[in-house]
Amino acid sequence: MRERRTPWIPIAATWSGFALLLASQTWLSMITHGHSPMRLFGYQLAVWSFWALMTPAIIRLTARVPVYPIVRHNWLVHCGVMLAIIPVHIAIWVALTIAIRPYDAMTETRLSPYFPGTIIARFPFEIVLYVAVVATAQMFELWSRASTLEKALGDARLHALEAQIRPHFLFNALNAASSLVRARRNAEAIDVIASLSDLLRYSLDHSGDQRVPLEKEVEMLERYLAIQRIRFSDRLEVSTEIDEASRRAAIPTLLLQPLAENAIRHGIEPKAAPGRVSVQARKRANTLEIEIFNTGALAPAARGIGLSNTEARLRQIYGEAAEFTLRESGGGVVARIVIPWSDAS
Amino acid sequence: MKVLIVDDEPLARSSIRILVEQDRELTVAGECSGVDAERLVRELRPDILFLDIQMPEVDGFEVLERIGMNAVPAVVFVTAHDRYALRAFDVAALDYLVKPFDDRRFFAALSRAKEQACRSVSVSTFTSRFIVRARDRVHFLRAADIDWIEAADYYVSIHAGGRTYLLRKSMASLETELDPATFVRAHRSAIVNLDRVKEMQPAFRGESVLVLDDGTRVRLSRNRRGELERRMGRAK
Repeated sequence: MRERRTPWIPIAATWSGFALLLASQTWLSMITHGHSPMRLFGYQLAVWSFWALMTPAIIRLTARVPVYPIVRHNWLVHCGVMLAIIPVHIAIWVALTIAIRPYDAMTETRLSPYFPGTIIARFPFEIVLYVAVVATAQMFELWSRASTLEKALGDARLHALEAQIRPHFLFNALNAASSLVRARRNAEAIDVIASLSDLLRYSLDHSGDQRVPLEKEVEMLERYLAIQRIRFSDRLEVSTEIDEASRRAAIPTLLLQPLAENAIRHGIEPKAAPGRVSVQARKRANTLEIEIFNTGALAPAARGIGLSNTEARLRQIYGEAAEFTLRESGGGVVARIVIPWSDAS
Repeated sequence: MKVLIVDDEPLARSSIRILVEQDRELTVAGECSGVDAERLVRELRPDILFLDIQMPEVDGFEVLERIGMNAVPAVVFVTAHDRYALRAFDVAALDYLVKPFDDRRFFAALSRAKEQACRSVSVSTFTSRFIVRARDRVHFLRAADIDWIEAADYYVSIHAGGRTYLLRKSMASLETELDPATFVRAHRSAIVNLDRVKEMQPAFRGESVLVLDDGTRVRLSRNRRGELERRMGRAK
Protein backbone atom coordinates (compact mmCIF):
# COMPACT_ATOMS: atom_id res chain seq x y z
CA MET A 1 0.00 0.00 0.00
CA ARG A 2 1.33 3.43 -0.86
CA GLU A 3 2.09 5.60 2.12
CA ARG A 4 0.64 9.05 1.68
CA ARG A 5 0.66 12.00 3.99
CA THR A 6 -2.62 12.84 5.65
CA PRO A 7 -4.07 16.02 4.10
CA TRP A 8 -4.79 17.61 7.49
CA ILE A 9 -5.19 21.17 6.26
CA PRO A 10 -7.93 20.52 3.65
CA ILE A 11 -9.74 18.23 6.11
CA ALA A 12 -9.67 20.82 8.92
CA ALA A 13 -10.74 23.58 6.51
CA THR A 14 -13.64 21.54 5.14
CA TRP A 15 -15.05 20.66 8.56
CA SER A 16 -14.54 24.18 9.95
CA GLY A 17 -16.40 25.51 6.94
CA PHE A 18 -19.15 23.01 7.58
CA ALA A 19 -19.36 24.10 11.22
CA LEU A 20 -19.44 27.77 10.22
CA LEU A 21 -22.22 27.07 7.72
CA LEU A 22 -24.41 25.29 10.29
CA ALA A 23 -23.73 27.92 12.97
CA SER A 24 -24.59 30.84 10.71
CA GLN A 25 -27.68 29.03 9.45
CA THR A 26 -28.96 28.51 12.98
CA TRP A 27 -28.12 32.05 13.95
CA LEU A 28 -29.88 33.57 10.91
CA SER A 29 -32.98 31.41 11.13
CA MET A 30 -33.34 32.28 14.79
CA ILE A 31 -32.00 35.80 14.56
CA THR A 32 -34.88 37.12 16.65
CA HIS A 33 -33.84 34.80 19.49
CA GLY A 34 -30.53 36.66 19.75
CA HIS A 35 -28.22 33.66 20.21
CA SER A 36 -24.53 34.33 20.55
CA PRO A 37 -22.97 33.65 17.12
CA MET A 38 -19.55 32.90 18.69
CA ARG A 39 -20.99 30.35 21.01
CA LEU A 40 -22.93 28.75 18.15
CA PHE A 41 -19.79 28.49 16.04
CA GLY A 42 -17.71 27.13 18.91
CA TYR A 43 -20.37 24.55 19.59
CA GLN A 44 -20.52 23.40 15.95
CA LEU A 45 -16.74 23.33 15.77
CA ALA A 46 -16.61 21.08 18.82
CA VAL A 47 -19.33 18.82 17.37
CA TRP A 48 -17.67 18.42 13.93
CA SER A 49 -14.10 18.10 15.16
CA PHE A 50 -14.95 14.45 15.80
CA TRP A 51 -15.67 13.98 12.10
CA ALA A 52 -12.53 15.87 11.18
CA LEU A 53 -10.55 13.44 13.34
CA MET A 54 -12.32 10.42 11.84
CA THR A 55 -11.85 11.55 8.22
CA PRO A 56 -8.19 10.43 7.78
CA ALA A 57 -9.11 7.02 9.19
CA ILE A 58 -11.99 6.75 6.73
CA ILE A 59 -9.69 7.81 3.88
CA ARG A 60 -7.19 5.11 4.86
CA LEU A 61 -9.96 2.54 5.18
CA THR A 62 -11.28 3.44 1.71
CA ALA A 63 -7.83 3.08 0.20
CA ARG A 64 -7.55 -0.41 1.67
CA VAL A 65 -11.23 -1.43 1.32
CA PRO A 66 -12.49 0.40 -1.79
CA VAL A 67 -16.22 0.82 -2.41
CA TYR A 68 -15.67 0.94 -6.14
CA PRO A 69 -15.61 -1.38 -8.03
CA ILE A 70 -18.52 -2.73 -5.99
CA VAL A 71 -17.64 -5.71 -3.81
CA ARG A 72 -20.24 -6.90 -1.28
CA HIS A 73 -17.74 -7.62 1.45
CA ASN A 74 -16.26 -4.10 1.23
CA TRP A 75 -19.66 -2.47 1.41
CA LEU A 76 -20.51 -4.51 4.50
CA VAL A 77 -17.25 -3.41 6.14
CA HIS A 78 -18.13 0.24 5.48
CA CYS A 79 -21.67 -0.23 6.80
CA GLY A 80 -20.24 -1.74 9.97
CA VAL A 81 -17.78 1.10 10.47
CA MET A 82 -20.48 3.65 9.78
CA LEU A 83 -22.84 2.08 12.31
CA ALA A 84 -20.04 2.11 14.89
CA ILE A 85 -19.10 5.76 14.32
CA ILE A 86 -22.55 7.32 14.18
CA PRO A 87 -23.79 6.41 17.70
CA VAL A 88 -20.47 7.57 19.15
CA HIS A 89 -20.82 10.91 17.42
CA ILE A 90 -24.45 11.26 18.46
CA ALA A 91 -23.44 10.60 22.06
CA ILE A 92 -20.75 13.29 21.82
CA TRP A 93 -23.25 15.65 20.21
CA VAL A 94 -25.74 15.11 23.04
CA ALA A 95 -23.06 15.65 25.64
CA LEU A 96 -21.82 18.85 23.98
CA THR A 97 -25.37 20.17 23.55
CA ILE A 98 -26.04 19.74 27.25
CA ALA A 99 -22.69 21.18 28.27
CA ILE A 100 -22.60 24.22 25.98
CA ARG A 101 -26.33 24.96 25.72
CA PRO A 102 -25.88 26.85 22.43
CA TYR A 103 -29.53 27.75 22.05
CA ASP A 104 -29.75 29.14 25.58
CA ALA A 105 -33.14 28.41 27.03
CA MET A 106 -34.35 26.79 23.80
CA THR A 107 -31.80 23.97 24.15
CA GLU A 108 -33.47 20.70 24.76
CA THR A 109 -32.38 18.86 27.83
CA ARG A 110 -32.47 15.29 28.98
CA LEU A 111 -35.90 16.05 30.39
CA SER A 112 -37.51 17.17 27.16
CA PRO A 113 -40.07 14.75 25.75
CA TYR A 114 -38.76 15.43 22.20
CA PHE A 115 -35.22 14.38 22.96
CA PRO A 116 -35.34 10.72 21.77
CA GLY A 117 -36.95 11.88 18.52
CA THR A 118 -34.14 14.30 17.84
CA ILE A 119 -31.58 11.53 18.27
CA ILE A 120 -33.33 9.32 15.72
CA ALA A 121 -33.76 12.24 13.31
CA ARG A 122 -30.02 12.73 13.52
CA PHE A 123 -29.22 9.31 11.98
CA PRO A 124 -29.95 9.95 8.24
CA PHE A 125 -27.93 13.16 8.39
CA GLU A 126 -24.89 11.33 9.79
CA ILE A 127 -25.27 8.55 7.19
CA VAL A 128 -25.19 11.14 4.40
CA LEU A 129 -21.98 12.56 5.89
CA TYR A 130 -20.28 9.17 6.05
CA VAL A 131 -21.24 8.44 2.44
CA ALA A 132 -19.94 11.84 1.35
CA VAL A 133 -16.57 11.28 3.04
CA VAL A 134 -16.16 7.79 1.57
CA ALA A 135 -17.22 8.95 -1.91
CA THR A 136 -14.73 11.82 -1.85
CA ALA A 137 -11.93 9.57 -0.58
CA GLN A 138 -12.74 6.98 -3.24
CA MET A 139 -12.73 9.60 -5.96
CA PHE A 140 -9.29 10.89 -5.00
CA GLU A 141 -8.01 7.34 -4.68
CA LEU A 142 -9.17 6.38 -8.18
CA TRP A 143 -7.85 9.60 -9.59
CA SER A 144 -4.36 9.21 -8.13
CA ARG A 145 -4.25 5.55 -9.14
CA ALA A 146 -5.16 6.49 -12.71
CA SER A 147 -2.37 9.03 -12.93
CA THR A 148 0.17 6.57 -11.49
CA LEU A 149 -0.95 3.97 -13.99
CA GLU A 150 -0.73 6.44 -16.82
CA LYS A 151 2.84 7.31 -15.84
CA ALA A 152 3.82 3.63 -15.69
CA LEU A 153 2.32 3.10 -19.11
CA GLY A 154 4.22 6.07 -20.51
CA ASP A 155 7.46 4.73 -19.02
CA ALA A 156 6.85 1.34 -20.57
CA ARG A 157 6.30 2.91 -23.96
CA LEU A 158 9.42 4.98 -23.68
CA HIS A 159 11.35 1.92 -22.61
CA ALA A 160 10.09 0.05 -25.64
CA LEU A 161 11.28 2.87 -27.84
CA GLU A 162 14.65 2.84 -26.16
CA ALA A 163 14.99 -0.87 -26.77
CA GLN A 164 14.23 -0.35 -30.42
CA ILE A 165 16.19 2.81 -31.17
CA ARG A 166 19.19 2.92 -28.91
CA PRO A 167 20.47 6.27 -27.62
CA HIS A 168 23.86 5.28 -28.97
CA PHE A 169 22.46 5.33 -32.50
CA LEU A 170 20.72 8.67 -31.95
CA PHE A 171 23.91 10.37 -30.79
CA ASN A 172 25.93 8.88 -33.61
CA ALA A 173 23.39 10.01 -36.18
CA LEU A 174 23.38 13.53 -34.72
CA ASN A 175 27.15 13.55 -34.74
CA ALA A 176 27.20 12.46 -38.38
CA ALA A 177 24.76 15.26 -39.26
CA SER A 178 26.84 17.89 -37.45
CA SER A 179 30.06 16.62 -39.07
CA LEU A 180 28.46 16.86 -42.50
CA VAL A 181 27.38 20.43 -41.82
CA ARG A 182 30.88 21.31 -40.67
CA ALA A 183 32.26 19.86 -43.91
CA ARG A 184 29.61 21.87 -45.82
CA ARG A 185 28.09 18.69 -47.24
CA ASN A 186 24.66 20.17 -46.64
CA ALA A 187 22.55 17.94 -48.88
CA GLU A 188 23.85 14.85 -47.12
CA ALA A 189 23.35 16.47 -43.73
CA ILE A 190 19.71 17.13 -44.60
CA ASP A 191 19.34 13.52 -45.71
CA VAL A 192 20.56 12.32 -42.32
CA ILE A 193 18.29 14.69 -40.41
CA ALA A 194 15.26 13.82 -42.55
CA SER A 195 15.92 10.09 -42.27
CA LEU A 196 16.34 10.35 -38.54
CA SER A 197 13.07 12.29 -38.26
CA ASP A 198 11.27 9.65 -40.32
CA LEU A 199 12.62 6.93 -38.06
CA LEU A 200 11.63 8.72 -34.89
CA ARG A 201 8.19 9.52 -36.22
CA TYR A 202 7.72 5.93 -37.30
CA SER A 203 8.68 4.53 -33.92
CA LEU A 204 6.62 7.07 -31.98
CA ASP A 205 3.53 6.63 -34.17
CA HIS A 206 3.61 2.87 -34.12
CA SER A 207 3.84 1.86 -30.50
CA GLY A 208 2.46 -1.47 -29.37
CA ASP A 209 1.66 -4.26 -31.72
CA GLN A 210 0.36 -2.53 -34.77
CA ARG A 211 1.12 -4.17 -38.07
CA VAL A 212 2.28 -2.50 -41.23
CA PRO A 213 2.98 -3.73 -44.76
CA LEU A 214 6.51 -5.12 -45.08
CA GLU A 215 7.12 -2.47 -47.72
CA LYS A 216 6.76 0.27 -45.11
CA GLU A 217 8.95 -1.50 -42.58
CA VAL A 218 11.66 -2.07 -45.20
CA GLU A 219 11.51 1.58 -46.22
CA MET A 220 12.25 2.57 -42.61
CA LEU A 221 14.98 -0.05 -42.39
CA GLU A 222 16.62 1.45 -45.45
CA ARG A 223 16.52 4.89 -43.81
CA TYR A 224 18.23 3.41 -40.78
CA LEU A 225 20.89 1.67 -42.86
CA ALA A 226 21.45 4.83 -44.93
CA ILE A 227 22.44 6.72 -41.78
CA GLN A 228 24.76 3.93 -40.74
CA ARG A 229 26.29 3.92 -44.26
CA ILE A 230 27.20 7.60 -43.86
CA ARG A 231 28.86 6.89 -40.51
CA PHE A 232 30.86 3.86 -41.54
CA SER A 233 31.32 4.79 -45.23
CA ASP A 234 33.57 2.13 -46.78
CA ARG A 235 33.31 -0.16 -43.81
CA LEU A 236 29.65 -0.98 -44.36
CA GLU A 237 28.10 -2.50 -47.44
CA VAL A 238 24.32 -2.84 -47.44
CA SER A 239 21.99 -4.79 -49.68
CA THR A 240 18.28 -5.51 -49.52
CA GLU A 241 16.47 -8.15 -51.52
CA ILE A 242 12.73 -8.07 -51.01
CA ASP A 243 10.68 -10.28 -53.29
CA GLU A 244 7.74 -8.54 -54.92
CA ALA A 245 5.04 -10.80 -53.45
CA SER A 246 6.28 -10.31 -49.89
CA ARG A 247 5.93 -6.51 -49.98
CA ARG A 248 2.27 -6.53 -48.95
CA ALA A 249 2.76 -8.93 -46.03
CA ALA A 250 1.63 -7.60 -42.65
CA ILE A 251 4.39 -7.51 -40.07
CA PRO A 252 4.70 -5.95 -36.59
CA THR A 253 6.28 -2.52 -36.70
CA LEU A 254 9.93 -2.06 -35.80
CA LEU A 255 10.60 -5.77 -35.98
CA LEU A 256 13.51 -5.51 -38.39
CA GLN A 257 15.30 -2.38 -37.19
CA PRO A 258 16.53 -3.87 -33.87
CA LEU A 259 17.86 -6.87 -35.78
CA ALA A 260 19.71 -4.62 -38.21
CA GLU A 261 21.04 -2.65 -35.25
CA ASN A 262 22.27 -5.86 -33.71
CA ALA A 263 23.90 -6.91 -37.00
CA ILE A 264 25.82 -3.62 -37.14
CA ARG A 265 26.74 -3.69 -33.48
CA HIS A 266 28.25 -7.15 -33.64
CA GLY A 267 29.24 -7.43 -37.30
CA ILE A 268 30.47 -3.97 -38.31
CA GLU A 269 31.27 -1.80 -35.29
CA PRO A 270 33.91 -4.03 -33.67
CA LYS A 271 35.79 -4.72 -36.93
CA ALA A 272 38.28 -2.45 -38.64
CA ALA A 273 37.84 -4.35 -41.92
CA PRO A 274 34.82 -3.72 -44.16
CA GLY A 275 31.71 -5.84 -43.62
CA ARG A 276 28.31 -6.43 -45.11
CA VAL A 277 24.71 -6.37 -43.86
CA SER A 278 22.02 -7.78 -46.12
CA VAL A 279 18.28 -8.15 -45.71
CA GLN A 280 16.17 -10.66 -47.60
CA ALA A 281 12.44 -11.26 -47.49
CA ARG A 282 10.28 -13.70 -49.41
CA LYS A 283 6.87 -15.29 -49.39
CA ARG A 284 7.01 -19.03 -49.01
CA ALA A 285 3.74 -21.01 -48.93
CA ASN A 286 1.74 -19.55 -46.04
CA THR A 287 4.65 -17.83 -44.36
CA LEU A 288 6.81 -14.76 -44.63
CA GLU A 289 10.54 -15.43 -44.31
CA ILE A 290 12.97 -12.67 -43.40
CA GLU A 291 16.73 -13.06 -43.06
CA ILE A 292 19.18 -10.46 -41.83
CA PHE A 293 22.79 -11.33 -42.49
CA ASN A 294 25.98 -9.74 -41.21
CA THR A 295 29.61 -10.70 -41.73
CA GLY A 296 31.45 -11.85 -38.62
CA ALA A 297 31.16 -14.63 -36.08
CA LEU A 298 28.43 -15.40 -33.59
CA ALA A 299 29.46 -14.04 -30.21
CA PRO A 300 28.42 -16.20 -27.26
CA ALA A 301 26.67 -13.24 -25.63
CA ALA A 302 25.17 -11.87 -28.85
CA ARG A 303 21.60 -11.96 -27.55
CA GLY A 304 21.22 -8.41 -26.39
CA ILE A 305 18.10 -6.51 -25.42
CA GLY A 306 17.11 -6.25 -29.08
CA LEU A 307 16.97 -9.97 -29.68
CA SER A 308 15.20 -11.00 -26.49
CA ASN A 309 12.70 -8.24 -27.24
CA THR A 310 12.17 -9.62 -30.74
CA GLU A 311 11.62 -13.14 -29.42
CA ALA A 312 9.18 -11.94 -26.77
CA ARG A 313 7.19 -9.86 -29.25
CA LEU A 314 6.93 -12.68 -31.77
CA ARG A 315 5.78 -15.10 -29.09
CA GLN A 316 3.22 -12.62 -27.81
CA ILE A 317 1.78 -11.93 -31.26
CA TYR A 318 2.03 -15.30 -32.98
CA GLY A 319 2.47 -17.81 -30.13
CA GLU A 320 4.13 -20.97 -31.36
CA ALA A 321 3.44 -20.13 -35.00
CA ALA A 322 6.45 -17.83 -35.38
CA GLU A 323 10.05 -18.94 -35.63
CA PHE A 324 13.17 -17.01 -34.71
CA THR A 325 16.72 -18.31 -35.03
CA LEU A 326 20.22 -16.87 -34.93
CA ARG A 327 22.99 -18.98 -36.43
CA GLU A 328 26.30 -18.86 -38.28
CA SER A 329 26.08 -19.32 -42.00
CA GLY A 330 28.04 -18.37 -45.12
CA GLY A 331 30.85 -16.54 -43.35
CA GLY A 332 28.55 -14.54 -41.13
CA VAL A 333 25.56 -14.55 -38.82
CA VAL A 334 21.96 -14.90 -39.98
CA ALA A 335 18.94 -13.82 -37.94
CA ARG A 336 15.92 -15.58 -39.43
CA ILE A 337 12.26 -14.85 -38.78
CA VAL A 338 9.38 -16.90 -40.12
CA ILE A 339 5.86 -15.63 -39.40
CA PRO A 340 2.44 -16.80 -40.61
CA TRP A 341 1.41 -14.99 -43.77
CA SER A 342 -1.25 -12.35 -43.60
CA ASP A 343 -2.07 -9.61 -46.08
CA ALA A 344 -1.77 -6.02 -45.01
CA SER A 345 -5.05 -4.40 -45.91
CA MET B 1 52.21 22.25 -32.98
CA LYS B 2 51.31 18.94 -34.48
CA VAL B 3 47.93 17.31 -34.04
CA LEU B 4 47.00 13.66 -34.55
CA ILE B 5 43.34 12.72 -34.92
CA VAL B 6 42.38 9.17 -33.96
CA ASP B 7 38.82 8.08 -34.76
CA ASP B 8 37.44 5.15 -36.72
CA GLU B 9 34.82 7.18 -38.58
CA PRO B 10 36.23 9.25 -41.47
CA LEU B 11 33.41 11.75 -41.10
CA ALA B 12 34.17 12.34 -37.43
CA ARG B 13 37.86 12.80 -38.26
CA SER B 14 37.09 15.35 -40.96
CA SER B 15 34.96 17.29 -38.48
CA ILE B 16 37.90 17.66 -36.09
CA ARG B 17 40.34 18.33 -38.95
CA ILE B 18 38.20 21.21 -40.24
CA LEU B 19 38.19 22.82 -36.80
CA VAL B 20 41.90 22.27 -36.07
CA GLU B 21 42.87 23.74 -39.44
CA GLN B 22 41.22 27.02 -38.45
CA ASP B 23 44.05 27.52 -35.95
CA ARG B 24 47.21 28.77 -37.68
CA GLU B 25 49.47 27.56 -34.90
CA LEU B 26 48.40 23.98 -35.52
CA THR B 27 48.92 21.47 -38.28
CA VAL B 28 47.15 18.18 -38.65
CA ALA B 29 50.06 15.78 -38.88
CA GLY B 30 47.84 12.80 -39.55
CA GLU B 31 44.66 10.92 -38.85
CA CYS B 32 43.94 7.24 -38.36
CA SER B 33 41.87 4.63 -36.59
CA GLY B 34 42.81 2.97 -33.29
CA VAL B 35 44.70 0.13 -34.95
CA ASP B 36 47.34 2.46 -36.45
CA ALA B 37 47.44 4.97 -33.63
CA GLU B 38 50.44 3.54 -31.76
CA ARG B 39 52.61 3.54 -34.89
CA LEU B 40 51.59 7.07 -35.93
CA VAL B 41 52.19 8.51 -32.46
CA ARG B 42 55.74 7.14 -32.51
CA GLU B 43 56.36 8.33 -36.09
CA LEU B 44 54.77 11.78 -35.93
CA ARG B 45 55.37 12.69 -32.25
CA PRO B 46 52.22 14.87 -32.07
CA ASP B 47 51.82 17.58 -29.42
CA ILE B 48 48.06 17.16 -29.20
CA LEU B 49 46.13 13.95 -29.64
CA PHE B 50 42.38 13.80 -30.31
CA LEU B 51 41.42 10.33 -29.22
CA ASP B 52 38.05 8.68 -29.82
CA ILE B 53 37.08 6.08 -27.25
CA GLN B 54 34.80 3.66 -29.12
CA MET B 55 36.85 2.23 -31.95
CA PRO B 56 37.01 -1.27 -33.39
CA GLU B 57 39.73 -3.68 -32.26
CA VAL B 58 41.90 -1.11 -30.48
CA ASP B 59 39.83 1.41 -28.54
CA GLY B 60 40.97 4.74 -27.14
CA PHE B 61 41.97 3.41 -23.73
CA GLU B 62 44.01 0.65 -25.30
CA VAL B 63 45.80 3.17 -27.52
CA LEU B 64 46.83 5.03 -24.36
CA GLU B 65 47.83 1.83 -22.60
CA ARG B 66 50.10 1.00 -25.50
CA ILE B 67 51.73 4.39 -25.95
CA GLY B 68 51.70 5.31 -22.26
CA MET B 69 49.94 8.30 -20.78
CA ASN B 70 53.00 10.53 -21.17
CA ALA B 71 53.79 9.81 -24.83
CA VAL B 72 51.74 12.82 -25.95
CA PRO B 73 51.82 16.15 -24.08
CA ALA B 74 48.07 16.76 -24.39
CA VAL B 75 45.23 14.32 -25.01
CA VAL B 76 41.64 15.37 -25.70
CA PHE B 77 39.25 12.43 -25.39
CA VAL B 78 36.32 12.34 -27.76
CA THR B 79 33.37 10.11 -27.04
CA ALA B 80 29.73 9.55 -27.83
CA HIS B 81 27.44 8.50 -25.03
CA ASP B 82 29.61 6.30 -22.86
CA ARG B 83 28.82 6.54 -19.16
CA TYR B 84 31.84 4.58 -18.00
CA ALA B 85 34.32 6.60 -20.00
CA LEU B 86 32.76 9.91 -18.95
CA ARG B 87 32.86 8.94 -15.29
CA ALA B 88 36.51 7.97 -15.57
CA PHE B 89 37.38 11.30 -17.20
CA ASP B 90 35.49 13.22 -14.55
CA VAL B 91 37.19 11.36 -11.71
CA ALA B 92 40.63 11.94 -13.21
CA ALA B 93 39.78 15.54 -14.23
CA LEU B 94 40.76 14.89 -17.85
CA ASP B 95 39.52 16.96 -20.75
CA TYR B 96 36.99 15.42 -23.09
CA LEU B 97 34.51 16.26 -25.81
CA VAL B 98 31.13 14.59 -26.15
CA LYS B 99 29.97 14.04 -29.73
CA PRO B 100 28.37 15.99 -31.28
CA PHE B 101 30.17 19.08 -29.95
CA ASP B 102 29.78 22.70 -30.98
CA ASP B 103 32.63 24.99 -32.05
CA ARG B 104 32.72 26.83 -28.74
CA ARG B 105 33.29 23.66 -26.74
CA PHE B 106 35.80 22.37 -29.23
CA PHE B 107 37.95 25.49 -29.16
CA ALA B 108 37.76 25.68 -25.37
CA ALA B 109 39.14 22.13 -25.14
CA LEU B 110 41.67 22.88 -27.85
CA SER B 111 43.03 25.97 -26.12
CA ARG B 112 43.41 24.05 -22.85
CA ALA B 113 45.24 21.31 -24.77
CA LYS B 114 47.57 23.88 -26.36
CA GLU B 115 48.39 25.38 -22.98
CA GLN B 116 49.09 21.96 -21.58
CA ALA B 117 51.29 21.07 -24.56
CA CYS B 118 53.25 24.32 -24.09
CA ARG B 119 53.75 23.74 -20.39
CA SER B 120 55.12 20.25 -20.75
CA VAL B 121 58.06 21.02 -23.05
CA SER B 122 60.22 18.87 -20.88
CA VAL B 123 58.18 15.73 -21.03
CA SER B 124 58.74 13.49 -18.08
CA THR B 125 59.83 10.06 -19.17
CA PHE B 126 57.90 8.48 -16.33
CA THR B 127 54.24 7.67 -16.45
CA SER B 128 52.22 9.83 -14.12
CA ARG B 129 49.05 7.83 -14.62
CA PHE B 130 48.08 4.29 -15.44
CA ILE B 131 44.91 3.22 -17.16
CA VAL B 132 43.37 0.31 -15.34
CA ARG B 133 40.30 -1.35 -16.75
CA ALA B 134 37.88 -3.52 -14.84
CA ARG B 135 34.92 -5.21 -16.53
CA ASP B 136 32.78 -2.12 -16.87
CA ARG B 137 34.96 0.57 -15.44
CA VAL B 138 38.04 2.60 -16.24
CA HIS B 139 40.42 4.11 -13.70
CA PHE B 140 43.16 6.60 -14.33
CA LEU B 141 45.44 5.66 -11.49
CA ARG B 142 47.97 8.27 -10.36
CA ALA B 143 51.47 6.88 -9.91
CA ALA B 144 51.74 8.82 -6.64
CA ASP B 145 48.69 6.98 -5.30
CA ILE B 146 50.29 3.56 -5.70
CA ASP B 147 51.35 1.93 -2.41
CA TRP B 148 53.10 -1.11 -3.78
CA ILE B 149 53.02 -3.47 -6.72
CA GLU B 150 53.28 -7.22 -6.78
CA ALA B 151 53.76 -9.61 -9.69
CA ALA B 152 50.89 -12.02 -10.39
CA ASP B 153 51.54 -14.40 -13.29
CA TYR B 154 51.21 -12.40 -16.50
CA TYR B 155 49.82 -9.45 -14.63
CA VAL B 156 50.89 -7.11 -11.91
CA SER B 157 48.56 -6.21 -9.10
CA ILE B 158 48.75 -2.61 -8.07
CA HIS B 159 47.81 -1.83 -4.49
CA ALA B 160 46.58 1.71 -4.03
CA GLY B 161 44.55 3.16 -1.20
CA GLY B 162 43.29 -0.21 0.03
CA ARG B 163 42.21 -1.38 -3.44
CA THR B 164 43.87 -3.73 -5.86
CA TYR B 165 44.03 -3.17 -9.62
CA LEU B 166 45.22 -5.68 -12.20
CA LEU B 167 47.36 -4.45 -15.04
CA ARG B 168 48.53 -6.59 -17.93
CA LYS B 169 52.21 -5.70 -17.88
CA SER B 170 55.46 -7.32 -16.81
CA MET B 171 57.28 -6.12 -13.70
CA ALA B 172 60.30 -5.24 -15.81
CA SER B 173 58.41 -2.98 -18.23
CA LEU B 174 56.42 -1.38 -15.44
CA GLU B 175 59.61 -0.59 -13.54
CA THR B 176 60.96 1.42 -16.48
CA GLU B 177 57.81 3.54 -16.48
CA LEU B 178 58.06 4.42 -12.81
CA ASP B 179 60.19 7.17 -11.35
CA PRO B 180 63.16 5.41 -9.62
CA ALA B 181 63.33 8.24 -7.09
CA THR B 182 60.03 7.00 -5.66
CA PHE B 183 59.62 3.38 -6.70
CA VAL B 184 62.11 0.69 -5.74
CA ARG B 185 62.19 -3.08 -6.14
CA ALA B 186 62.00 -4.80 -2.78
CA HIS B 187 62.45 -8.26 -4.22
CA ARG B 188 61.99 -10.09 -7.51
CA SER B 189 58.22 -9.70 -7.52
CA ALA B 190 57.51 -6.51 -5.54
CA ILE B 191 57.97 -2.79 -6.09
CA VAL B 192 57.26 -0.37 -3.25
CA ASN B 193 56.55 3.33 -3.17
CA LEU B 194 59.23 4.77 -0.87
CA ASP B 195 56.81 7.45 0.34
CA ARG B 196 54.71 4.70 1.91
CA VAL B 197 57.50 2.92 3.80
CA LYS B 198 57.05 3.43 7.53
CA GLU B 199 59.74 1.18 8.97
CA MET B 200 62.21 -1.53 8.21
CA GLN B 201 62.42 -4.58 10.49
CA PRO B 202 65.15 -7.19 10.47
CA ALA B 203 64.18 -10.74 9.48
CA PHE B 204 65.96 -14.07 8.90
CA ARG B 205 69.25 -14.51 7.08
CA GLY B 206 70.03 -10.87 6.56
CA GLU B 207 66.67 -10.16 4.96
CA SER B 208 64.35 -7.47 6.22
CA VAL B 209 60.70 -6.60 6.12
CA LEU B 210 59.31 -3.24 5.01
CA VAL B 211 56.24 -2.06 6.87
CA LEU B 212 54.04 0.31 4.87
CA ASP B 213 51.75 3.03 6.22
CA ASP B 214 48.72 0.76 5.97
CA GLY B 215 50.48 -2.05 7.85
CA THR B 216 51.31 -4.16 4.80
CA ARG B 217 54.55 -6.10 5.23
CA VAL B 218 56.72 -6.53 2.15
CA ARG B 219 59.86 -8.71 2.19
CA LEU B 220 63.08 -6.87 1.30
CA SER B 221 65.76 -9.14 -0.16
CA ARG B 222 69.35 -8.84 1.09
CA ASN B 223 70.87 -7.67 -2.18
CA ARG B 224 68.36 -4.87 -2.64
CA ARG B 225 68.61 -3.46 0.84
CA GLY B 226 71.63 -1.27 0.12
CA GLU B 227 69.99 0.26 -2.95
CA LEU B 228 66.82 1.02 -1.03
CA GLU B 229 68.64 2.64 1.87
CA ARG B 230 70.69 4.73 -0.52
CA ARG B 231 67.58 6.00 -2.24
CA MET B 232 65.85 6.71 0.98
CA GLY B 233 68.93 8.81 1.75
CA ARG B 234 69.54 7.47 5.21
CA ALA B 235 72.15 4.74 4.92
CA LYS B 236 72.98 3.48 8.37
